[in-house]
Amino acid sequence: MSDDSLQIFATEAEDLLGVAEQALLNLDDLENEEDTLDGVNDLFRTFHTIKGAAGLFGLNDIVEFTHVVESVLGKVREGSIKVDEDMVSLFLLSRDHLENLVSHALSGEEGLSEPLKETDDKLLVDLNRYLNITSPDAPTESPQANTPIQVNSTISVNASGVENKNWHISLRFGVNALRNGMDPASFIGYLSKLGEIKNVTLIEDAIPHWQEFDAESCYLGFEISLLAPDTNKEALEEVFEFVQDDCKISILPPNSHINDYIKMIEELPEEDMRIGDILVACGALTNLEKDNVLNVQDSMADQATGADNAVPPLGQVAVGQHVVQQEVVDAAVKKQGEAKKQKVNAQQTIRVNALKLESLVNLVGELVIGSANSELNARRLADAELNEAMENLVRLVEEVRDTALGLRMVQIGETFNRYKRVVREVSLDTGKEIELKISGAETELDKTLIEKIGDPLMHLVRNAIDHGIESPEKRMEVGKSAKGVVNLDAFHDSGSIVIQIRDDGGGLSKSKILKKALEKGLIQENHQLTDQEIYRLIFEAGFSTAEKISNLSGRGVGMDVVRKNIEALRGQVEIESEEGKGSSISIRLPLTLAIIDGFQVRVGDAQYIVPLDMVDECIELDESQRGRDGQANYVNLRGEILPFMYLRDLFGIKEKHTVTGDYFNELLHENPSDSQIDKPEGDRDNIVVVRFGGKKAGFVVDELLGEHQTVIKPLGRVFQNLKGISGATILGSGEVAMIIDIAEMVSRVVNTNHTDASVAKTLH
Amino acid sequence: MEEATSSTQTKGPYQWLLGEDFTIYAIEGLKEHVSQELDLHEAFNLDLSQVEEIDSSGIQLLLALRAELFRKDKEFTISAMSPVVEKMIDSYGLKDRLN
Repeated sequence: MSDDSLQIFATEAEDLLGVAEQALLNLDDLENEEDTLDGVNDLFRTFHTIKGAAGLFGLNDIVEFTHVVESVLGKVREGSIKVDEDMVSLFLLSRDHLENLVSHALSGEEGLSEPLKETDDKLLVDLNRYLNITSPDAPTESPQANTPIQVNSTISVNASGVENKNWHISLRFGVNALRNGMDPASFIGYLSKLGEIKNVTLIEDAIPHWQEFDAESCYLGFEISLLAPDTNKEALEEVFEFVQDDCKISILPPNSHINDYIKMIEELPEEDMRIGDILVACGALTNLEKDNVLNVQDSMADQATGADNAVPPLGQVAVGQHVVQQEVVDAAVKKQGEAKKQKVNAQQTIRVNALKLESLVNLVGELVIGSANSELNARRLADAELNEAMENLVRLVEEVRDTALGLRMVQIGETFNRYKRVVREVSLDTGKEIELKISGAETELDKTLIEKIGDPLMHLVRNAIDHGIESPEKRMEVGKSAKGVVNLDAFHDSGSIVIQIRDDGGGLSKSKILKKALEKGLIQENHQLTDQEIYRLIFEAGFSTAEKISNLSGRGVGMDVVRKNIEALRGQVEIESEEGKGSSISIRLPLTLAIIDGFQVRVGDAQYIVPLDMVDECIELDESQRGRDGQANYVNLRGEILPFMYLRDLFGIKEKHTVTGDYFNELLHENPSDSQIDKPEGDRDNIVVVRFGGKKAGFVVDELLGEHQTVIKPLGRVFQNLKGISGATILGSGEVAMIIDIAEMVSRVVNTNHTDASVAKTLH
Repeated sequence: MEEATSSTQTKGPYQWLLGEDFTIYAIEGLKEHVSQELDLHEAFNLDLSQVEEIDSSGIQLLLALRAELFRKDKEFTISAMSPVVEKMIDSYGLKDRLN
């Protein structure tokens, strides 16, 4: 640095120090907050300018000292500490010391003299006390409002060579730079203090032809590679603080930092942040750069109006400005997406006391019954407005019901995910390669169901892996891929939820099962069994055809427990299998436990409820189609064979009240929905067609009574094992109606009809 | 600023010995000076051994002159550099370009 320029610095600094002194002396009335703040701001700016100028000239002692003063002032500005008499005195002493430092610098002497050093140390101790730092050495890093994270580039080793450890700084000086006293040389000099300049390339493209060339203007640009492992963007940006108006600057971190930035982005807390903020938080962008990029983006937006393409996203603009690498932007975008998802999830969950929830559901149940009661009574009054109001009310109650019940619903995905771990461990244990594929994770089940189904499911999954999937070698032998796949699916189907476990393993061996069953005396020789029945045998206690007893299964205590558990939940288990290809186990569970939409029917004197979800349709049979009591009956339903039975037979209802046709019609007319009368004989049978588990069946009832919101009240313990009834409900009239267990009924009808094989054959 | 000795003949390079001040304070004058000589010679040789102060405007002038001469198919050489000049040229990575 030339003597001349140093002199200029000294003169400037003296001016500024004079200003500072005045400002300090003006801080006499500390009570006046406004004036005090103004004064502090002035002081801050003054010392900041001195620091910057000193930096340009490489006067490190001044830079370091002024920095501490500036920091204390910064804290006052932000309100962390208050100015008091002592502080003002300290500042004045500091200012004096700075004057000495400047004079010293002018003398050209290297290193501080002893007395100077002593004062320096002492003042720093006092100043640092305000910064809560006890060590005499003040940190030379500038503590920004959001301290940028130090990027330790010695950790990240990029395979593509040394070049990737360098910062890339692009400079394009403005025409007035030289006129304004900014010389590129001094900045490059300052940079060399922060690291090793590996390469400087001067860009002279902007120099115009001789005629237009103005010697006092600046047309220079630079591309600089800087090896500076211990610095960060903020520090580098600070180098150019004073020339920002006269120079276009872009600082690209070393490629080796990419991984560090990405890692940092991933470790950011799960807050919803904008891309720019994410990039600043990980240190890939400075605040200033973010602002610049935003400005560029804005100007792009201005130009883009009317054009087809929308404004490019911030990340894209930043990459285009060469201030960050694409990979870092990608990581930031990914992080943002994750955070958004988290936010959505977080907002939507709230912890609720299970007991409170239960009492709410109970109350809702009572509400449903109460509103049904009201509706019934309202209809009797036959007031149009009242009816309309009641309709409204009933509808709202239905919504409340659904919402309340929905509170108990939990996604099954969480349960499914637990099995991934199991699969992985088992794979390692058994040496088999297995992939677990999950679908329908969002399918919702009642909470209690999920809790109770966890263990049975786990057992079945383990079975699939242990017995189903073969070893990789065996699989390759038979032409399968070495990796076995276990599919775990969940979906809704006609009022039930189905959980399916499929594997592409060896399938069930019917012969083996039969052999074992014979051994155990479960079946007789020559006993004809359908495939389903054969597979069902594996649910018998003590049954296991596994030759080896592995850690997990083969002890024969599993499957029967599984079936019991599932049946206890009013569910069903079905098995399908193909030898050599694989097996599929389906668990069917009722969707809700508490309140359902029901379809009310009458048989004899009593009312029954059929779950509406399972009702396919209602049909009428004319006389010719009428079936025979107590036997299997069939009807041709649009080309399909539909087995049906009389519900009164199934329930053993003997009595049947009858009335003559006219009286019946009169009664019907008067009380359309509240009729306890039987149809006259000779009228058509009403068949309710229900569907469960892919099977259809029909039930003849005496009367169809329409939809009814059904609050399921569990039967007393005495009735727990009653087949065919899954609960009861209280009608609006106060009567009790039984809820028909359709699953049981359907299988009853189907089985009855099935054994009557001859009947089926006649129906063509 | 010392006057440069100019060749009275159009043949042979124009020898330009620059003075101590090669900074923005003198740059306008320097440009003026060489502008007048531009059309009169086919080759230019600069002696920078006497330069005591140089800043970027000086470097810039060198580059501009070099480019101009190149455009006109004229020769541009630098025969000598003082230490300060050499230092600046080094720090700007221009060693190859300006030699």
